[in-house]
Amino acid sequence: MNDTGPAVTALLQSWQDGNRAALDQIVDQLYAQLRAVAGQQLNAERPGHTLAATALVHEAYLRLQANAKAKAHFVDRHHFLAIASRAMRCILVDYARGRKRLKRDGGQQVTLEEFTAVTNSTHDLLAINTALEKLAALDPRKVQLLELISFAGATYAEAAAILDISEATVHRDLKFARAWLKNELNGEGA
Amino acid sequence: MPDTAHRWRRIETLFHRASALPTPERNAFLDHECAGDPDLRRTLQDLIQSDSESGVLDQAIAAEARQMVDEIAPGAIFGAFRLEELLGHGGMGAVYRAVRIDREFSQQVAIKLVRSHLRAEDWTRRFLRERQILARLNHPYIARLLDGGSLHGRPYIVMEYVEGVTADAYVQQHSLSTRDRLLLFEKVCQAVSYAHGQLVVHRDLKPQNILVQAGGLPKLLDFGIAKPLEEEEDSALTQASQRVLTPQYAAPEQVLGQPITTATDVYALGALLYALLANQAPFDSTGLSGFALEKAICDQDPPPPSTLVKLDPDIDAIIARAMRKEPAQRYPSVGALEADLARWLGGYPVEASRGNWQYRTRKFLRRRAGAVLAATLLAGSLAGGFASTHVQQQKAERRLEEVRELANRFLFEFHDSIAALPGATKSRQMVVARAIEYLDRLAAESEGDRRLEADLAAGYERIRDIQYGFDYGHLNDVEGAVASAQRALNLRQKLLAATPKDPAAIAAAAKANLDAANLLAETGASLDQAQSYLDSAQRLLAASAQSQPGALPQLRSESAVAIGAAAIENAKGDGDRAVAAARRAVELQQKVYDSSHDPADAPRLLGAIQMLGDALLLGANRPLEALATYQRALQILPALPSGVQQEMNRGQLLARIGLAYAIAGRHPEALPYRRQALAVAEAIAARDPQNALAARDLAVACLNAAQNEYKAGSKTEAVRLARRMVAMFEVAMQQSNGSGQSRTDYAAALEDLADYLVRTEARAEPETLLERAIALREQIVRQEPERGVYQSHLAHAWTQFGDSYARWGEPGKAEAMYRKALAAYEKLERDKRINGLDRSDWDRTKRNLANLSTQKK
Repeated sequence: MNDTGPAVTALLQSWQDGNRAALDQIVDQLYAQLRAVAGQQLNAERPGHTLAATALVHEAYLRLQANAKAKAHFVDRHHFLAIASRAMRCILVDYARGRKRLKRDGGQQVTLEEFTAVTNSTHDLLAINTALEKLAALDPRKVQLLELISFAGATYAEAAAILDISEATVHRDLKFARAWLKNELNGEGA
Repeated sequence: MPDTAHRWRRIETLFHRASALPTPERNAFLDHECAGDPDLRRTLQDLIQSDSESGVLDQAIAAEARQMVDEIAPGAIFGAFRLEELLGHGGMGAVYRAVRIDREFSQQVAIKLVRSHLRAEDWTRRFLRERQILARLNHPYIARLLDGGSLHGRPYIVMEYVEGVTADAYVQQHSLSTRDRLLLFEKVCQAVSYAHGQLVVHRDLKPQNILVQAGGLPKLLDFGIAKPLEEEEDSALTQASQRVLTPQYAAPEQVLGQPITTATDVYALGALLYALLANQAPFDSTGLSGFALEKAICDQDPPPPSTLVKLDPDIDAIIARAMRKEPAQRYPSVGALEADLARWLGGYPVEASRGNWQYRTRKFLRRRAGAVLAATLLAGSLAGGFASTHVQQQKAERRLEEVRELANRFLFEFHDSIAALPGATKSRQMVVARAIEYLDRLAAESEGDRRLEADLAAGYERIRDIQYGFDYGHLNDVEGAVASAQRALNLRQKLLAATPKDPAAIAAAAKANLDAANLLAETGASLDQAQSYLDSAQRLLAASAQSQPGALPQLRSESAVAIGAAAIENAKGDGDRAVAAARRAVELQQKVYDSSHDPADAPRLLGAIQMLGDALLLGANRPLEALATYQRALQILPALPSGVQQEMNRGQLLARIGLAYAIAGRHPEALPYRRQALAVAEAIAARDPQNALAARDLAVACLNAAQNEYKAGSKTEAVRLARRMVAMFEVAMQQSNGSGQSRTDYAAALEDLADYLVRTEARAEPETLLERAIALREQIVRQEPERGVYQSHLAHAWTQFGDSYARWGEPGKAEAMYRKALAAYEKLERDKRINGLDRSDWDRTKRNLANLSTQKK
């Protein structure tokens, strides 16, 4: 494996200390991890094929931690989740944008299968992203919560610990945030 | 700004308060709180409405991530190939241009990494079955299939690499005239027609599966590839739930999970021609749920293409004829479709215009088929969003409440309405499979919603009873029922954990534990697990009895636990312990019944007594005591509600009494009971001639009576009965589409008949019967290698065949059969699947083999 553990650990700290640019670098690193995981996925004995975003994050975390331990660093899982959730959102949204562009520019190779579905889901994630941005302006904590739960697969308990709120609040916030998001996407924004 | 923040807080607070209220009070609450602020009122209304829908974010993320992972792969080495470039991806998986790297010359190919619900080995097995045929397809317009299989657990297909543009894009990019489009389409027809001549149906024809190369010549992709991904024909489960085809171009029979024939391709060609001429698919899926789309395919006609583009109405007629809902109403072959097009191109009147576009499929929707259709569609609507096709996945969002209501209607009303339909078993199995799929999916999203979880538990429980319950019409699927029971149990436990003091939750959890324990005992597997469920049930019941004082409830609980314990002991097979446990169960349940006089307690008493009889007869080998016990059960019978259920119980008891006499070696006394049991079974079957279970019971009664007649009555009658039961089991096998159970039954019937004939008749007939029986059994073992019982059946059949050869004076052949049987028993022992009966059969086989060699000397 490539030697990204300590670097990411340092970047995490740096981002935590207020260095916004560190996020971009972390995203790059994480993306490399994701590629590696996915590449390995091709040649790994594994039943089914359901590598979801949250599973990717989980695998990436395990790798980082394995590397970090070797260097006597410890990447705190909460710490990691906090950042990975944001990074995952960036990655997926960038990816969706890229593909939408490709489609629009008629990057016509051989299309062996229908692309209709692809465009729909792209639209979905991009629309969701816009809605999330709007929500962030109103209530940033709820966006962080959605990122943790949906993009990084954090448990409710983890999310509660990271955001320093009770689990009951996690439930309430999620319920409201999801309803709001759904409503926003229905074009009936509050 | 503070205003905005204040309003936001207020919305959130009101939202939580309002959602906690039941609907009528909620409206009053909102009216009050939002008085003079209609905007606020509407916002809250919308939010509460949206609250009941879910999953939008998670689904979008999952879809995106999956695509990304697929796309990340280029450059990767995959077996003997290097993946060069992602060409596209869709429902079936991602397709790459790839290069072979294990050869001197580099061969360019297309590799499809198939995304499938199948396990890799299942896929490989199915694919290999098709490969020979598919690889033989050799036509200039068909992309060659080069190879396929699975690597590192990942199914894949290697095919000829084709450079081109999909047919729909091609005709638009080149602004082809109608005539040129038809000429292109004709070439497609030629390829399909050729494949039909090779007995291959494409199954998934659509513009995206046809690439047009630079010279304007088409290449058809993925010929027949959909088949190995579909449900196996002989499997009981739905075809539809695991469909991989694109619904927009699917024929009604595909939506309905009905047999797929060349007529299916004729339909798809019609839809393809529609798309090529009208520049849009016949059924527009935009904004439609999978359910609505499937419904449209089954009972709506698409707008005639001439209403969309300038077109001769005769072309409308040709397309309409190809796309008839009823396969038999379409062109009889691709050739006939081609011929009609040729007529049009030549300026002649076309055949198709003799019909008309508004042709309605009334006949297709006649009453019974209508019910089956509704079954499929309703099931489709439940699972539609979750089925494997991604278009449906896109539509997955739907309102939870709506789905829940639909589920209730479907589970509780719909299933019951088809349960009694002749030949409905397959549809019901499909309905059940779909329902489970749907429940599983909903369960994954139910986190924290207690009402939904309670509904889901009830749903699983209902499914469990349909799979294997007390009703006459259950599906006889114990394993499935166990799985459902365990799912229900998990939910009940979770609900209980949330409200540990709620008596209803305790009772429900106790019952779920009991049911799971009883079902596991029924399968004979995981008896420790069954015991632990039973222990949990006991603890819960003890706790609830405290809160609910009174002798009767407590007694009922104790009795229920005792019955469960007896069932487990029975399954464990220690006769004496089983008898003791069953006695206790009978005692307790008798007390319950004596103090309640509630007819609802009678069936359980009957069940306990019958269990005691079984423990005595089969476990402890005390047939005479068993006899007395069964007689006692017969006396209780009138206390049960009269009807089929009671008759069925009577038949069962009579048969048991006959069996007890037979085991005691008193065959002449057994005979009248066997004959009575047969008469009861006849009566039940006559009342409900289409009921498959009744037919099976009758056949079993024939089988038993035949055995008895052979031993103590008339040998001629035995053979007559045996022939009758063979015929009945054969019909049952055909009607159930060859389910494992039905084939086992049929093989056993053949073996019995052969056994009677082998002593009296010429060799030819019994030999043929045994060959057929063994071929069936071998097939069953191949298909279900995990089930030891099938191997022991097969071993038994080999021994029987060996005995027959010995009788016919062919010691060589006899020995070969015995050796096969011995090998099978050894394997059973190695796999630790051997039981006592097998051991005695094994010993018998060894003895017979030894006798053979002494005879030879």
